[in-house]
This record gives sequence, C-alpha cells and structure tokens, in this order.
Amino acid sequence: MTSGALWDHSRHWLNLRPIYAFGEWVLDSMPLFVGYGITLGVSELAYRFSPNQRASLEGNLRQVFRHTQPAWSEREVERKVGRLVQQIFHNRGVWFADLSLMAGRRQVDGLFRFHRTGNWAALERQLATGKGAIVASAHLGNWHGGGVAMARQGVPVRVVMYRNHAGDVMDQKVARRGKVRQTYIDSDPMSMMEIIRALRSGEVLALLVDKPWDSRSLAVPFFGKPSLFPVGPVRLARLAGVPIFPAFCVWKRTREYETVLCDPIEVAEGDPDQAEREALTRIAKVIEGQVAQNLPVWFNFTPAWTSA
Amino acid sequence: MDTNDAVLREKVKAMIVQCARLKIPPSELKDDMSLFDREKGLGLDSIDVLEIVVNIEKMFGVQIPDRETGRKVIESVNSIVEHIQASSGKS
Repeated sequence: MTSGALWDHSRHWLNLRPIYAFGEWVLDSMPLFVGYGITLGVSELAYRFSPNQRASLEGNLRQVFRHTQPAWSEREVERKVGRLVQQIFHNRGVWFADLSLMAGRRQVDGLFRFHRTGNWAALERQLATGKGAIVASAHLGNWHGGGVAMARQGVPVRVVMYRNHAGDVMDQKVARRGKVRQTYIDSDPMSMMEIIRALRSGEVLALLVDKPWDSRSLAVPFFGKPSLFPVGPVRLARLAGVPIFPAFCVWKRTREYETVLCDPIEVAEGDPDQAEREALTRIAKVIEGQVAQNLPVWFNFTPAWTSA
Repeated sequence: MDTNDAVLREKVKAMIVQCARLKIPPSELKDDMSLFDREKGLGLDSIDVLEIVVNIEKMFGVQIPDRETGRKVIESVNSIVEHIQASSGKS
C-alpha cells in the first residue's frame, strides 16, 4: 500500500504524462539522432532547473565517495560529484529515449542489444524446480530493459511495481512489446494473491528494492550508513520459499546493455525477522557493489539516507 | 457459538496478531472488525495479506485461490472463520 511519500519523489516538471507521450512520439517518428539530440537538450535543461533532484544526487554521491574513497579531500569529492551529477542527468535522458523506443513501434529486437553476464545457470536451475524466483533490482541503468531482456531469453517475467502516474502508459507499452507481465501493487492489497500464485507457478517476479516505498522498511548498511530498504521482497521470498537474485541492466553504450544476474540469496529459516534482515543486508551489499561500479547510471534522484 | 467455533476464532485471531505483528492481545480483536480500514479497523496492508494468506493455507489447510476470493475472505475475523469452516465442510 502506498503512502503520500511514494509520489513525492516523482514530482517534477518533466514527470508529466504529455511529456512521456511527446517523447515517445518523437523517438518513434523521427530519425534517431533527432530524438536523442532533443533528449540531450531536455536533460541539460533538467540538470539546470531541478535543484531538489540535483541536491539529492549530490548528497548521495558524497556519501558514496566518503565511504569508497576515504583518502580523497573534500575538494576532490566535490569536483567529482559536480561532474557526475551532470553526467547522470544526461544519462537519464538517454534512459528516457531508450525507454521511449522500447515503448514505440520500432522493433526492439533490431535496436537493442543485451549481453548476459553472471549466474544465469542458477536461475535456470531454480526454474527447473517448477517454482519461480524473485529478481531484485535497483534504480541503476535501465531496469525496464532488464525485464525485456529476461523475457527475450524465454524467462517468464512479471514486473511488480507501483504505478508511475506519468509514465504508466509507457510502462505498459514497454511491457506489452517486451512480453513482460505486470502487476501493480499500490491500489489493491489483494494483488499479493496474484503475486504469490505467479511465484508458485514458476514465474520470475522483478521488483525494485532500493527505495522504501512504504512503512515496511528496514535500515541496513549501505555505503557505510543505514539506509531504508523495503522488507516486502524478502518477506515474499521467505513465505514463498524462493531465492532472490539481485539483477541489473547496465547501460554500456547507445542501446547496448549488460544484464547482470548475481548469485541467489536465500532467506534462511529460523527467526523470520533476523533472516529477513540478513537477506536484506546481503542484497543491499550487492546493490552497493553494482552502484559503485556504475555511478554514472545510478538514477536515484531522492536522498538515499535521510529517513534511515 | 459452539466450542469448536470459539477455538477456531481464537486461533484465527492469534494468527492475525502474529502475522501483522500487532501489539495487542488476540482477545482484543473484534469478530467483525475490518482488517483494512485505517480508521475503524486494523489498517492492514498488502504485506499483511501475504502473511495471512500463507498462514491460512499452512495452519488450516485452506486455499484462497484468487483476488476475488481473497477480497471476500480477508475482510474480518468472521469472514476468515466462515471460509475455513466452509472449505473444511463444517459449516
């Protein structure tokens, strides 16, 4: 179930349904260089006129660098942060353009390349048992692309998500074209019935786990400081008896992605609260590693630590 | 209310308290109290639903096959008890 905070993060002058529709039309109808060119211009405007999102990115990156680069001076940190923030805004523009293309009429097959790395064999073994699995991702790279890439590999994917009030039409188009199933969990608590049934029938549920969408969150270490992560995915894994695979779809170059599937994490038996905390801590650690390697595509425009 | 019914009710209440990690004794749950209403009921959410559904299956051997059934069953202590009794052929 949602709280008001869910929508606060996405309040932005660009996060409007007509903007999404216009972006999709431009990318779908015009030569690609025109679409990507316009996107670059808009992302530069977004960088200049989004003080709150810029401040959030700066705060997040500072914490990352203080934790990973303790030898750096404050000046070095600030210089690096400044450069990266602008790059992240521009990359987010590319993310939007790619997503628009995935939603549009052009064939995704011919336009995008996805390279698999990581432990896909473990996922295949899990699916061979007849039970599903949970794929836990983060706002890193193109998470929608990750679902599409998995579906293209023949994996029965269901994306479990909160409805983005501006981008939901585009989300649905991407899912439809990519043959990815979707379940929204913000409006109906009974959606959990569909989710647990999907897991039991061998589907792979894909969720974003790096933002505390509701009150059910646990503070676990993330770049050296407690950060809130939602407890839902680990509870679901525990109750359904399935593993969680952290996974990421990282942008390498134009319309080329690496889909990384990390080793599975099991929620141990025994004390459920303790087991959930341990699993969430391990997931956060994996996300931390991927974020550190891919900072230019870490699209977390909200403070990662304030509410912990 | 016969003894079996009262025992089942107590079990269901204890299960709800445990699943939702409520800080009240099971006896304080009213039979007709809404499980989801935030003002007049318990204000449970989707994660609680997940726990309750799995535990109903595990403890009472009763399936809740789909959303529509879930909506009717996981409404109050009364509705859960009725579903268990109906599914067990005891109603």
